[in-house]
Amino acid sequence: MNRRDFIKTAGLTAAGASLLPGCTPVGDDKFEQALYPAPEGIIPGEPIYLSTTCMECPANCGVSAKNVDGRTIKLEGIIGHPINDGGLCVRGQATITRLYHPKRYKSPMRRTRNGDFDAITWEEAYRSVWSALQTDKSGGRSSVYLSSRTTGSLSTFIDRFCAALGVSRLPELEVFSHSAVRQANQTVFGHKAIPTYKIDRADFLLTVGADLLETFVSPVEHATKISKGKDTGSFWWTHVEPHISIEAMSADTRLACKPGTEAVLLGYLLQQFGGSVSGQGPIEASSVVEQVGLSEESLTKLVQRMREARRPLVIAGGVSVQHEKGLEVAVLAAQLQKQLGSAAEVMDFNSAYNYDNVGSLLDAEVWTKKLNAGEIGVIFVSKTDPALTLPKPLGFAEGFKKATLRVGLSEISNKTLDECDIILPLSHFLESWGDAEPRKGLRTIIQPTREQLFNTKSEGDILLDLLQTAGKPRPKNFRAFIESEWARLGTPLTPDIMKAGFVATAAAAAKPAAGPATGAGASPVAAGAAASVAASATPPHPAPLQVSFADGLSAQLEGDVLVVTPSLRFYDGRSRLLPLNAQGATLLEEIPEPVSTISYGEWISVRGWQDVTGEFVRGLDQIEITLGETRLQPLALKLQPRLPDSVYMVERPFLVAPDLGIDRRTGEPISFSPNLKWRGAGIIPVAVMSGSPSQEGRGIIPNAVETPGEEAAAHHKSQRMDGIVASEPELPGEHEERLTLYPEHVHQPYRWGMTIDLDKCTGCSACVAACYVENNIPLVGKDAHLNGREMSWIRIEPYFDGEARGDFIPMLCQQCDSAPCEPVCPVYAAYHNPDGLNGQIYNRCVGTRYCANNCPYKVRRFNWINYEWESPLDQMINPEVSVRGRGVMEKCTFCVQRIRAGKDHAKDENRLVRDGEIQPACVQTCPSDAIQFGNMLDENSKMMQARKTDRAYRVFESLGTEPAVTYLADVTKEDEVSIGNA
Amino acid sequence: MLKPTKWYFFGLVLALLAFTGLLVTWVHMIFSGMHLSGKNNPVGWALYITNFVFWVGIAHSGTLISAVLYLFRARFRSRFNRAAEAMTLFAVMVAGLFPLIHLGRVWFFYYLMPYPNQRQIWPNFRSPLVWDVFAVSTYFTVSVIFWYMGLVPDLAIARRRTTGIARWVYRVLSLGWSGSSTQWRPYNKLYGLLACFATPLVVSVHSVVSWDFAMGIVPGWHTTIFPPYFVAGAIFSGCAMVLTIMIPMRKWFKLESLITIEHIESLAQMLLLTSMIVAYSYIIELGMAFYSGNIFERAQFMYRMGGYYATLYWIMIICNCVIPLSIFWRKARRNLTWMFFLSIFVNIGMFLERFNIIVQSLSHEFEPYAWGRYHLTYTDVFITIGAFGMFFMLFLLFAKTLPVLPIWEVKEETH
Repeated sequence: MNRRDFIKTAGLTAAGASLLPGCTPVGDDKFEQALYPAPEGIIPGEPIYLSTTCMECPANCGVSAKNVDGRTIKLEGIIGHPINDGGLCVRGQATITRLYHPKRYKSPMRRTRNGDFDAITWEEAYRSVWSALQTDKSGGRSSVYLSSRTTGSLSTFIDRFCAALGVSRLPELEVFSHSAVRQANQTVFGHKAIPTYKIDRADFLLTVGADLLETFVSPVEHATKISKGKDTGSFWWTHVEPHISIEAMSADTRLACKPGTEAVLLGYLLQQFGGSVSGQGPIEASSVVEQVGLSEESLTKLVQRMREARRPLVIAGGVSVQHEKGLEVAVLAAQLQKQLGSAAEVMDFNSAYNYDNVGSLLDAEVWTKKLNAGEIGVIFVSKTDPALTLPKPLGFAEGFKKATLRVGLSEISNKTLDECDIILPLSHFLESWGDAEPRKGLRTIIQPTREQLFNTKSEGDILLDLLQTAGKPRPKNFRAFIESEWARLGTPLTPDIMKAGFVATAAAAAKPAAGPATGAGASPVAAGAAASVAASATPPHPAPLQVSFADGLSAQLEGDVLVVTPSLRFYDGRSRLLPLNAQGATLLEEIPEPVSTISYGEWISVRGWQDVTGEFVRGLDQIEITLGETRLQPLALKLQPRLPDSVYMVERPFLVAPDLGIDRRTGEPISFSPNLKWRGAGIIPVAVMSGSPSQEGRGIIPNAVETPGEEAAAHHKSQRMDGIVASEPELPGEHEERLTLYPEHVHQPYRWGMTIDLDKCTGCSACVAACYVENNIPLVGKDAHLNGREMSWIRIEPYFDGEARGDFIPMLCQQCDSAPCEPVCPVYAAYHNPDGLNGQIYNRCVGTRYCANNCPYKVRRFNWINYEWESPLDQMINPEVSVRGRGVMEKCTFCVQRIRAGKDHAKDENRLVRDGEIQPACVQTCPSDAIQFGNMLDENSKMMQARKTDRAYRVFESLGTEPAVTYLADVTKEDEVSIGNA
Repeated sequence: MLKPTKWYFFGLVLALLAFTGLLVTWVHMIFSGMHLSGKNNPVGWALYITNFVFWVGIAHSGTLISAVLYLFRARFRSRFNRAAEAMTLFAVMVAGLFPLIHLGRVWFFYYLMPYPNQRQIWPNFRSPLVWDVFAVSTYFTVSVIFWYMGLVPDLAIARRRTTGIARWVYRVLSLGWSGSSTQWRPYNKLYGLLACFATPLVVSVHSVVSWDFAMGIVPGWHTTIFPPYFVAGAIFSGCAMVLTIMIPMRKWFKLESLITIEHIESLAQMLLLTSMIVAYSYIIELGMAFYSGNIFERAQFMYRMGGYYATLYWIMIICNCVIPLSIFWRKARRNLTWMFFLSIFVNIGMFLERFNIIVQSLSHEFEPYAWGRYHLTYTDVFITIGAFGMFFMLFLLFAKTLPVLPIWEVKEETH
């Protein structure tokens, strides 16, 4: 080989070696994207925000969808929105994974004989549906339309569609129909409706079972208003319930009552305030103590607080109205409210929630009977899952099979849709036109925030097409219909409205007892089933139920009682999606349920103290429960501190068609099952993320240590926020002044910091979901969680310490000034940036994991494998945040991409960043406004101002890490668990 | 240079298989991810770092025996020193592998080296891991030179006894050694000098390794006692490993006349001394945890003694502190079978000591919510077995090709 040949060969080899890796598909998308011109009006890389409405649950929060390069990547609450004012809950944050779900329906489908689905065209689908509808007409069967709660133009249009094609519209199906509350309000206030609760106007809030922050009507709104109430300085929240929930852990006073006894307490209170309980003599405090299980002291305190309050508010709901005496609870709560005299100030029926079309389970009973009798031919099922939610005795599953054509409308499959014959794939609300009217006097707009991902259509457009197939007149498209509707209602869709996302119209004063009744929504009261209730049987304007309390106030639930609770993460089950990726993960399951800290798995909670040796996977016996006729699938048994004795707690979505019965008067599902029979067998692993229910006196939440009063006082006395010198070093508390070899960090002009108010934090986990979506955190699935390899950058830690209390603390990177992670990194991947952030340079990281070992807060996360973002999930990747590869460490950055953007923006305008201009994702979404972010060098920033309280402390102060995150201790907690203290 | 028996080949093949297992699982892990090892969020270091510390510890006795005892003119040294030095070398080679194995992105291992680059990024000299890089590489270099210097006269002897290609190799390696007094005089000087140079390394290397832990703030790691404690532990485990190897070797290679019971006894006494230092350290550690009033430290040691891994803690105490006490008994320390098993116990105990320090501390740190456990995986087990495989493979190859005893020193002593 001569010299030239050698150089040629060497050159070719080198070129080949360097080119080959370039042939892998990594990065192709980016390359292509750069070649295509951007769509009109879109500046590449520049985000645009589109206002729309979240349809994940009936609350209909206003959301602003962030769209970058034509891809919707993040939802945020609309600031100033009458419902959620900037906040968004965990489900709302996670709904984007529904949009980009790889298993979404991608085209219309028809069921084949062997049960699979074949893709068909829209034309074929429409023709099948239309011919079946005609067959129904000739065959004397009725066709029905079943949907979950709809409002606004869609509801109007469904009515129009049904009328045109002779389809009868069933009362809308919502398990959480709040029908007991609505009926009680009809009885007491003359409005069969749920008012807007002006919690922020109240100075005392008594909630009885109402899961205000989870599923009760409008959780984000309630969280926002409770936070505003707390800002007034005179606000006290007492929560009564038979189990434990995030409300119990967030309220100022938690009273745990024996299951089914809420009415006794309310009756007592009513009498204390001069009301009378018909059919009942005076209720003695001692009998309340005995029956409800509260101490005399807490009862006195409760009455005293209510007396002192000027605008008390009483809300009953949730599981407390879902037992045999549920209606009594609801009615007594309403009567108490009326008796207290503040109803007009704290309840607003003029802007009542739009539940008029929502039926109860009694309505479902009527139409499931028809189904079973074979009277129904075509059944449309739109965005609801009766196979999961309806009680088994209703026989939905069997009846559904008897329908001649089952047409399912949904984005993604569920139990009911799996049984349908024709699937009409729905567009996600982020890609369709629509509107909503969550409550009277508020109309919100739904507009597409990106192109259609698949061959799907909005519900309105599908119905419109069906009208066309049937040869009926129809609007041009659903958008045109909405525009005409808004014009008809006097608020034409102007660009301003489109930008704001909502319009508040002056609501006409609601006339008592004149609310439009549901179509078939009259509650048929079975004669004799409830002798104490007399109801007029003349739909559609039923007279209010007359409730007498002669039969007693307690539901008499004996023995071990199972409580079926609503689910913070899955609502009634609708938010529990199919697995998203190869790891079998979903975003909402990736986030632990905050009280039990279980992420993946189905479990029953029972009172007990989790082993403190620090294990992810509690041994967790398997438990088999028999309810009525049905034996439940085996569930894991979770020991739950602070759960009252002999109460078993399970989330509703874990039970398929739960067979607990229906309240014959209200149509509420019964959520209690007394005399529980169960047997344990085997072990089911579920991922329990907490290593210990106790903080072992480490002062992570200082007021929650064994002796709360003294400890907190001592702690606050010694607290100094400049954090250098401690007057009296103690553990946990201050650290002594330390000598250092290294120069102090100089931060100018910014040092970012955070203040988290634990009094406001409710553990709702919205911040966790927001963080996942904002920062492209991989969803790692159950196996990884069982192995302790979760990737969350922020987590909600519950601790149960002291006599009987529980509290949440959000834990995230503390961005220490003297960070233990920084000096140990051998390659400077962990470094201190000029703004005081602990930066992490992914492409420098070699993966020694020393930083994670040395982090006392344990917030660093290692990428154990490469996580794939299966198409189209890859489209929800935030382009401003790197997707981390295998072998590198990652952690919270205070959303450095947002800080960067904010600083750049300020620099363009030749100024410093304004206070509040930059908001990390967790801060932005927090419905309770518990987290403040800002510049620590700016004494006037909201964040620094919030710190100026004796509640301020930093976690593990004694370690001298100088965290930038300051917590405000919650010092107002009172807690009483009725039956013994765990 | 005896003809190898079939047992030799059997052992070699076994060791080779184990080593291959290490390579295969490691390569698999490089291509698949660190999830194959049982580590997780609180426990970021586990069996690989345990192995690293263990093997660095093993390495220590080699230098101790060859250099320190040389300077002290301890006569029993000459019977062990070649094997001990080889052990050092191979143990450092094995140990050096583990920081690489445990890296999340081993393909960027060179980021830890200070090399000039256009980005002007240097390693973080404040990080104990960078100190490790220097400590271990220095140690390896010095050990190689020291070992090789000791070998040169023996290689010359081997050159005389072999033929063909082997003879040619030995000739090159013996650097023209003729054994003349003009060569011996500077040679002895150099050897003494190297011994002086190597001696501080005995203390420094394991001190640096201990700083990997002591410099961290993890309860159970962050103590000033670590350097002496680790050095004593290293010598302890190293002496045990020398016994584990020399007792069978003495029998198989029929070296009874050269390595006498008295020699073994001296080593056993060394073992006893270091065992007691280690036991003292354990007591101090506990004392500090409870005396200091630091709740994190206290919780950590309560966890060690009564937590999930408590069994391992107590096995460690028995192996390291209780069983070696039998050396006090003359009959026991002259019983080779007992000494062999004792050395095995000490090896187990010292391996567990490192495991306890690393895994237990990490699984029970400051944040109770984040407490968690480490569980063994097949990958971890294969890699650990492979480490032993690699060590014994190298040692067996060495025993076949090079003199296991320093012939010239033994001659010097016996003449």
